[in-house]
Amino acid sequence: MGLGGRHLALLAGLAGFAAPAPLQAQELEVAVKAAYLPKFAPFVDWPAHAPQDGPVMICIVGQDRFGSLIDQAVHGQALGPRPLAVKRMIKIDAAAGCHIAYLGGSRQQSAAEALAALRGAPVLTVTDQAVGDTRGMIHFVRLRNRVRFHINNAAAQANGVRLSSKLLALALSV
Amino acid sequence: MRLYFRGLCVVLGGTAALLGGDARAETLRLAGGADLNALTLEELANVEVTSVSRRPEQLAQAASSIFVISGEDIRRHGARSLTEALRLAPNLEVAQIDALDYSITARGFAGFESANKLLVLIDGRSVYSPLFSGVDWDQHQVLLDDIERIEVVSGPGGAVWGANAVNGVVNVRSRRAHDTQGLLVSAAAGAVDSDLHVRYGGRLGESGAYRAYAMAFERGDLRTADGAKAKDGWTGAQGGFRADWDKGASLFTLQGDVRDGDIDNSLGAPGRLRGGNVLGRWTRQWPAGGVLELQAYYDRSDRTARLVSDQLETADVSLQHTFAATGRHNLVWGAGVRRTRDDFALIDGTRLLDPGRKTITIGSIFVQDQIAVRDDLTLTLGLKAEDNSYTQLELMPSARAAWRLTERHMLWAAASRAIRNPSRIERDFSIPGLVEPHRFEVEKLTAFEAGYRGRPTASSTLSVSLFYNDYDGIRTNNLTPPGVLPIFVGNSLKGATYGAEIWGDLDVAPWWRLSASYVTLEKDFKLKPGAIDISGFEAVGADPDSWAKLRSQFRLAPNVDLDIHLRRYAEIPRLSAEGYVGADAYVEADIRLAWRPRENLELAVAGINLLNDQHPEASEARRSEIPRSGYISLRWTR
Repeated sequence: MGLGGRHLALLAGLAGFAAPAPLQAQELEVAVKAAYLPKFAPFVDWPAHAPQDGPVMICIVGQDRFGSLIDQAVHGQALGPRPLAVKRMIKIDAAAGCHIAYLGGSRQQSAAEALAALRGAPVLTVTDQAVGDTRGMIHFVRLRNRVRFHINNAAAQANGVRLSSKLLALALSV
Repeated sequence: MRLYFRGLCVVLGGTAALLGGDARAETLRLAGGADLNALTLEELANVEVTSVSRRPEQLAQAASSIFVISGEDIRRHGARSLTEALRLAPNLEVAQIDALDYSITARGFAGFESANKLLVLIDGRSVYSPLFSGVDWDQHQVLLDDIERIEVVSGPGGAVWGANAVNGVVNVRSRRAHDTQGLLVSAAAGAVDSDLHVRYGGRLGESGAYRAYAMAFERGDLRTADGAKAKDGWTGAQGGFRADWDKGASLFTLQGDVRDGDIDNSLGAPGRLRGGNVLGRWTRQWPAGGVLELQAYYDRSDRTARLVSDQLETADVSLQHTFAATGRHNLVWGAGVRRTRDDFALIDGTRLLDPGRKTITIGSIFVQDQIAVRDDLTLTLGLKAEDNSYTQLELMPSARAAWRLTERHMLWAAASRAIRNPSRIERDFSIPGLVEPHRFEVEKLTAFEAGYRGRPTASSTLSVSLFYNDYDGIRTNNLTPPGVLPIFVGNSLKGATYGAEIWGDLDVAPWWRLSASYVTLEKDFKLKPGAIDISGFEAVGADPDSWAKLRSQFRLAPNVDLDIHLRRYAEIPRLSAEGYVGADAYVEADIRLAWRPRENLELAVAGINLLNDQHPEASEARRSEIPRSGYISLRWTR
């Protein structure tokens, strides 16, 4: 670890800071989560009664922390022939037509209530430690400054959602 | 966004490249900009998301003066005990008295005996002592690596908290066992304090996880005023576990600790601190919304220290039910019963309390409705009723309003009433002919608060809280009019405290966060007409009229952190009460440099209280002075 290296790193950081209106640092955490969401799709097998036509829907339920980040992350992504698309909603239920649902929670429907409303539905539920302690099939946590996730495979199986072993291997716990 | 990412990626990638870094960081740098989305799942899992702590959204909306110490803040600060970690909260006044004792208060009343208006919860277990209503901080060691966060509320805790939440609430929450898997070894060797912590976490079947830990620590001698060793050091060991089962709709937690501490010399005699606790909690969520939480714990402590022997058993059962939101209403109610049984005597067997052993029952019930008056205006009305063995039913209402001006700015205001139950000593201290017991009643507070919380700019946060606390019935030691024996413990002080709590932080750069805080405190107390007090206003405490804290967190490289903490406490005036000598204003600094040669290994060197050879923090004449010190530490996980 040379002093020179650290010095240059500091200068490089300052160059970044000099950019107009730097965004708050935790934006990166949010951006990483946004990048994760479409990347889960290839590792998920939805049951036959999940919506089979049209795009694979990623739903942002309740409070939207992502803004345009999720649109950028999903833009141009596809699962085989089906494009991925983003939908935002205040509340969710089994009939909302979602494949992946990030439960951001809101006054109208907390993440726990959203999870309860999706019981038995073929939807990959994603919750976030930054939102609260409610845990869906995938639960984002921050560990050693990295965004990682836990998987509740029993909950996924109960809803007919099959997760590939590669995804399970990446989880902190299954 | 794009430029920001580039800046950050240059730091990440550039540093790694210059240091002979790996290909992953190089890819990031080349990718740049929003091409974060080109990374694979594995690569995403390795993107470092800066040094800053997360801010839970729901707390940002709270209509009270709340500060959250994140687990990450604690680890970066390098605190080795809960009390030292609490120094991170701007709204707490932390003064170390000696190697064993601290005075920790919010909004004044500092002093070992006067710091009796704080509710402290560790994973839902109340740890203030019904003997004197303060906290024996030495008994409450936690494995700081496994702390999720500490919520610090200054001001009345509102309707939902338990007894003693008068001036503030400290709520320590450990991480779930699912999040503390594997082996952790954390050790520090220091000039004053040293310790060793070991924890292992594993799975319990499909849905469960557990962890078990052991720790041993040495709290070294502090100094006397002339620089000699104060011979107040002590050692301790503790072990415990936590297990969680996550069954989707139901969560179940079981946890417990046992501890043993040895004091060579506590006011001239040896001391011993033994105890343990076990707690179970069941949380059930209903499909239609609504959460039911049921909790029970048992806590036992056998304490011999400061020439006093005190045995205490506590059993507590509580229930909290949050209804599914209906229309504009969010209703929560709860109830609890706590039973304590104590046995208190001087170590020579003298009994000073009448009766010497006593069982006290506190029952409480609360209801709170959070009403969305408009989309941007939330009103929270709460009412708690509490009954205990000493006094009649007391009602504690509170009203809080939060007005969200925009997504980034919120104003809040609150009016609330809180009471503090008599402690055993206050109520039952008895020396026939000299001190008459059973006179002390509850202390009452009516509090008015207002504040702002928000993000003035995209890279900063700011919180401003103003408070006016009106107290009635604060403790005195009275002579019986017209000025004769017996003495009795009375409620003859009334008065007010007022001040401001201001804190904020600024992300100067992705690798640099500055946090600053400033708190002012004014006190004005009077004796009620006709009362003759001989305590010299001891119960009002000895406080500085302001304190300021400044913290700078640097990420010098992806694996190198530098943290600097500065604090200044104004002078503490000398009390007229005997045994309180005041303290000079002081400024102190802590610096910690941490290096992670591998992802699972951190080596750190820290300097603590670097600016003075030694300094006193407390006003008590028996205090020790805190010397300059430091430590080297290691944290290893696998």
